Amino acid sequence: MAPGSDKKNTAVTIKGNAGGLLVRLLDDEEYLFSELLNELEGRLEQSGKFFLRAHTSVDLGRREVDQSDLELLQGLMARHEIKLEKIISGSNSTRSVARRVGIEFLLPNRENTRLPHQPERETNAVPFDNAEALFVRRTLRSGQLLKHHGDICLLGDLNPGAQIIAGGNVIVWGIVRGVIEAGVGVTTEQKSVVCALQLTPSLLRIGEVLARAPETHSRNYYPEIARVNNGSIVIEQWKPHRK
Amino acid sequence: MPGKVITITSGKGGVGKTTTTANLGMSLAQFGKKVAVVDADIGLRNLDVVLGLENRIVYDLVDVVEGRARLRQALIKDKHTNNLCLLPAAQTRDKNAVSPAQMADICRQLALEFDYVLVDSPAGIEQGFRNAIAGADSILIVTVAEVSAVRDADRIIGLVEAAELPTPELIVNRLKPAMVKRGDMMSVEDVKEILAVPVIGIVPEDESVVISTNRGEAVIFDNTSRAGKAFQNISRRLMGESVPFLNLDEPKQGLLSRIFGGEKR
Repeated sequence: MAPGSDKKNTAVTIKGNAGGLLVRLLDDEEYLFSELLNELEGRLEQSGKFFLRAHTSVDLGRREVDQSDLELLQGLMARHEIKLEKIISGSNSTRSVARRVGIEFLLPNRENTRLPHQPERETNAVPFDNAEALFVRRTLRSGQLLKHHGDICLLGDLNPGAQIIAGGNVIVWGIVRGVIEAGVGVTTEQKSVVCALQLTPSLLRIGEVLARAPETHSRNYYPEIARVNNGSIVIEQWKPHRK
Repeated sequence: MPGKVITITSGKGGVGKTTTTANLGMSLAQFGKKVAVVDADIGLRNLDVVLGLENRIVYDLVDVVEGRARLRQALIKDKHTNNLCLLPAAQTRDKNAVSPAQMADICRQLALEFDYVLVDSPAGIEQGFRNAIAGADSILIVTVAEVSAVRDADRIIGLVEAAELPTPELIVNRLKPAMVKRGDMMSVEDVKEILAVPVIGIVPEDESVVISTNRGEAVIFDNTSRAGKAFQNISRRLMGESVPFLNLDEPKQGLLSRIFGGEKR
């Protein structure tokens, strides 16, 4: 093989497991998508009929891939009679493209697109999907709406009449008097939490579960965390080391 | 150097925008500034009534926009104060008669002739409000210390921020210090906690305002009125002066009248 091609070898990795094949196209700006496709083509040619009709997922990391490129990938795999079933992507735009093209997509899990020599993620990392979090640094005023498919972190207050809708967790480093909906659209086990320095929302929803503010308000506020437990929302004082 | 265009708005109706516009305008004029007050509440005009000028209206804002009158013809000089002029709204039309661009143009023209252009905004967040802020350099928000008004003011502040205008300043109007002390009314601090904008004035509830309005006079001419004094202080702050807030806890009248006449609010 030509010198320098060793580096290219790790840009495309193909692993097999019980569920099928996982093709990993390295999420590194140094590699153009077209180069990766060429590399993949080469690998598939080399392996002959080994991967025939395998159920395959392609992990793109956070790479942004447009529709034409995705269709090239689809075409490439179809030519080798490999079924491209899923795209794994940490990029909102790539997932939208996959939806348009009609390919199922998944959010990345802890096994990210990394070169092997990079440090492994710590094993006690938070076990939630690694979707991008939205960080907003201002107070949300009445009538304003903040909506995001992942986690939301607000550095500021949520005034009465303002609303946050998140597909994941919600953390407000401020006073919550508005409406918070967390874990929206989560069909698996509801693990989303809502935290705030002062958690006094007019309405709180986590997944399908709703809670309303109590009628009376105490004047002593402390940071709290809300989560779903046995089908209802439980709010506890935030203590260090609490998970 | 062109004058400053300031829009007075609130969201909630009935909190005192028109009273504030009339009194601030009159006060600035008394201090020697050339002031134009503009009524942007087309269809429900009030600024003319409050200033006692309703019988002098020949042309209005919509006439100017539609080309039937020049701006100079529509401006009405105040009865007593030469450097105050009023551009009245139309009463038989509605807020769709004027566009934000047209409003902005009129404000720009007025700013060439006057030191201050005060625009009295209608209540709400629709076309009337959008017209009123279209030509503004800065915004004054009037609210009362009540949850519904504060909620609306918060919405307005959000819209003003989204329009990329400078941070608005707040006037807390119709405050009743005794009720605040009893915990029956929100305090200025409670209001500030939610709205988080600087307070430029605190005006106490004052019967004199009702009396002056019905006479078509600005309340600042009533020497006994603390609301009048508060409005004058606000106009001084607008001109850049640093003025301490009135102590609203002091009783207005002497001990004897309180025993025999009951405390007047």
